[in-house]
Amino acid sequence: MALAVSTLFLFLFILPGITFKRAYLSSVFSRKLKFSGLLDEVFWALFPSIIMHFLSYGLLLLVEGVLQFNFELRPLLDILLKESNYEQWFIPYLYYCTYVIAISFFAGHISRRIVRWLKLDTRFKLFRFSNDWHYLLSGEFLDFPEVPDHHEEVSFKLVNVLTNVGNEQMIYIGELIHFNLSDEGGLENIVLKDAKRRFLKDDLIENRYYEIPGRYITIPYKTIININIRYFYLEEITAIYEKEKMLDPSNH
Amino acid sequence: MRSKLDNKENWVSGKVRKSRELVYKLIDINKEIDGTGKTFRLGEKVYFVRELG
Repeated sequence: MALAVSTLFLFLFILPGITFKRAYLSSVFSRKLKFSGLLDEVFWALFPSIIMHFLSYGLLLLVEGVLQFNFELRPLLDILLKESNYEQWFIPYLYYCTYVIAISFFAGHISRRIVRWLKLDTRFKLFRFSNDWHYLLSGEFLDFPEVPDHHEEVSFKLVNVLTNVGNEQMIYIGELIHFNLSDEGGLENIVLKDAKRRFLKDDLIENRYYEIPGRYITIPYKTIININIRYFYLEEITAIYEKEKMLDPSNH
Repeated sequence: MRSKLDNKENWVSGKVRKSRELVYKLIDINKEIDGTGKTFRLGEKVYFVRELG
């Protein structure tokens, strides 16, 4: 009985860490939560748990003065260390853990937003989320320190997609307009706008691409063999061009 | 004289509404586009495009 209660208390103690991790990695580009070994999982549950308990307790002390109530953590911790008075303190401990779990949930989401807002994930590998497709297809890949230019400059993403269609291989080329990431941490599909296509075997034929009547085409990832993506900066410069042409003496 | 159009540093932000003709044009000339940029005409409009990354 005592062992079971202690285990339950310990589980409730590390649950905020698990909640924090789940909330932090809950966005679509980081949803993959693969099992990375028992020791690793326990560490990454325990470490954030301790921080969350400190944070939550600090918040409680802060609110305590404002809302005029009294909270004592010591008796609750005593339960974990000494095997006595379970019945008396279990409900308050449950309340406390629920509060810490709620704080951890919001802290996880807020932390992720801060990391994204400060672009820490593109600037430092340590903060990078697991789904590489997001960075590659959104163009945020350009914000990696080792890559020149910035993704804010991207105004056109041109993709060549080699796919398997029946027994043949087809190449689609068009503007990448949208993509969906899968829950498993991969890619679900990509959407091309104003795409053209051709069979791979027609590589040497001139005007080999033929147009697709609709404006948007979805290509499921399971049919894709590889993707070549190019990022372009595009701007209309008609006015500047005409002005320069008028000023250029060689035009007169 | 080096044209202002050749200076890629002049071109910063600005999104373009892309018609189907413009996308097809970009598909046709995509092998000619590099990091230094390329100017091309489509109808009455002139565009500047350069590859990033």
